[in-house]
Amino acid sequence: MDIRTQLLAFIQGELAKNAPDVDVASDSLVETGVIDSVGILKLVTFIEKTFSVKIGDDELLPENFDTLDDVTRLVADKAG
Amino acid sequence: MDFALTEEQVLFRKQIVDFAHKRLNEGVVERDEASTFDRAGFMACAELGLLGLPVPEQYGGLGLDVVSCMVAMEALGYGAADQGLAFAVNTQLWTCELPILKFGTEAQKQRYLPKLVTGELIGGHATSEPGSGSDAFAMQTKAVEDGDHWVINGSKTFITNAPIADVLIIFASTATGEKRGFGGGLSAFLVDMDTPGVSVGRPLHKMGLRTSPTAEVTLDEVRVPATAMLGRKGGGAAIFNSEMEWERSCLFACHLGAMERQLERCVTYAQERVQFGQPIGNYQAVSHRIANMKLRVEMARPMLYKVGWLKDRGERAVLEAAIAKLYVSEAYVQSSLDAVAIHGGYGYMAEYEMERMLRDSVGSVLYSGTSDIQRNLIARWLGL
Ligand SMILES: Cc1cc2nc3c(=O)[nH]c(=O)nc-3n(C[C@H](O)[C@H](O)[C@H](O)COP(=O)(O)OP(=O)(O)OC[C@H]3O[C@@H](n4cnc5c(N)ncnc54)[C@H](O)[C@@H]3O)c2cc1C
Repeated sequence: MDIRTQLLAFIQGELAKNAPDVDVASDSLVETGVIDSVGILKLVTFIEKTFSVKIGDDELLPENFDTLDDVTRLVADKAG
Repeated sequence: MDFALTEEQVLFRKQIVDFAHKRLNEGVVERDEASTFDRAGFMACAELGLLGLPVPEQYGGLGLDVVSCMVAMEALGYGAADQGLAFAVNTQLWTCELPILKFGTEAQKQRYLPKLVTGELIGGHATSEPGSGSDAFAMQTKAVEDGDHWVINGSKTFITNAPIADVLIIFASTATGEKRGFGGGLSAFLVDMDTPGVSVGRPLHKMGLRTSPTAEVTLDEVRVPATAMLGRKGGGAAIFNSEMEWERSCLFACHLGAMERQLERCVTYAQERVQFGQPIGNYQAVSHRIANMKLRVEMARPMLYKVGWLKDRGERAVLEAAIAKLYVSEAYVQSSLDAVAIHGGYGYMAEYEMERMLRDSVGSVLYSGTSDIQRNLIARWLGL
């Protein structure tokens, strides 16, 4: 599974479960509240474990996690 | 899995306990009654190196790993009857020095860390507001960019160390428009307390931890240079979360030390106090209460040190820190109630110190995120 697909599955299954109206693939995850202050920590913990990358606390900015594409880019840059 | 402390950790622990007995405990009942901060004790902590535990040597600190910091804090909690003073030390370390160390520019580190380590400066952080406590990110304090400055307006409450502070890390919304909360963009600023527009209210009279001064802080058109921003614009939430992870482990290690001391006091008391011709410790109602106190200490320790161990490996410990914080704080309150009960009427009297420990313990289920908030976080982690 590629990075985007794994991230999509995680966000849909874990973070957006109670937000059926949100299109995780394209909507702003921050504005819709799918990624909030706890959600971001859950997502980062998942990313670090799954992709064996490190995300610095100084990178935990809303703009790096706003859309699935943003998160995918962040992970891909590190994994690459 | 290795549960043993290193030789250095054992020695440092003993040094801190001996130091606390000698330098921090005299007059604590009176200080508590008068809500007085022990500045001399604070400076003595600095001399011993306690204010620089995790800070690298280049900034005057000891450069210790997380587990060693926790050992030191547990020793301080065990040795120091003045838990308010210990609280002030913890506040300085985990909510002021650590964020500067982790997120600060070199210039910010050079400017603040050496003086915070020596106690020349006192610091803290200000997140809570009258309208936003648990929902910290809903804060109303706002920072607006004005050329190469930021102008901050708002009010903060329950700020530990504020009446004695030289610098506070102030969290403010830097969102443009009406957006609030995590996505709105929170930022952190290093604000010197003598900046025009900063005012500190009267010290708040508290139930416990009275020797640790607390106050409201008002920010009225406070103008700080762009270089006062800590971390990046919008990075405030990450700074806050990072602080909380440290505080939930190291501050609560201090509480664990206090629980150990309380337990020892109860064992001694139960052996010495005679009623109906026997030491009260012979009665199962008393001895089981003490057994439960021991159980809590032994359960709390591995939970806490696991957080330190994970952090030393460079791993995140969000869930583990929440679990440890929740457990230790609730155990601390329960054991403090038990300690009062075991001491009977004497437990209720200030001189015996059990009532103060109970009052001191209650704040622990509130600050660093209430118990409810920890349970919310744990539940979220479990997918609920
Ligand atoms: C001794 C002490 C020192 C402190 N020092 C500082 C400091 O230095 N800097 C600083 O910024 N702050 C500090 N605080 C403030 C502390 O962080 C807040 O008190 C805490 O976050 C709770 O906020 P609140 O008091 O506004 O309570 P509220 O958030 O109003 O909570 C009231 C009650 O509602 C519950 N509740 C709220 N929301 C939820 C929810 N979503 N789910 C379930 N239950 C909920 C809470 O658990 C609590 O029982 C300090 C507090 C104390 C007691």
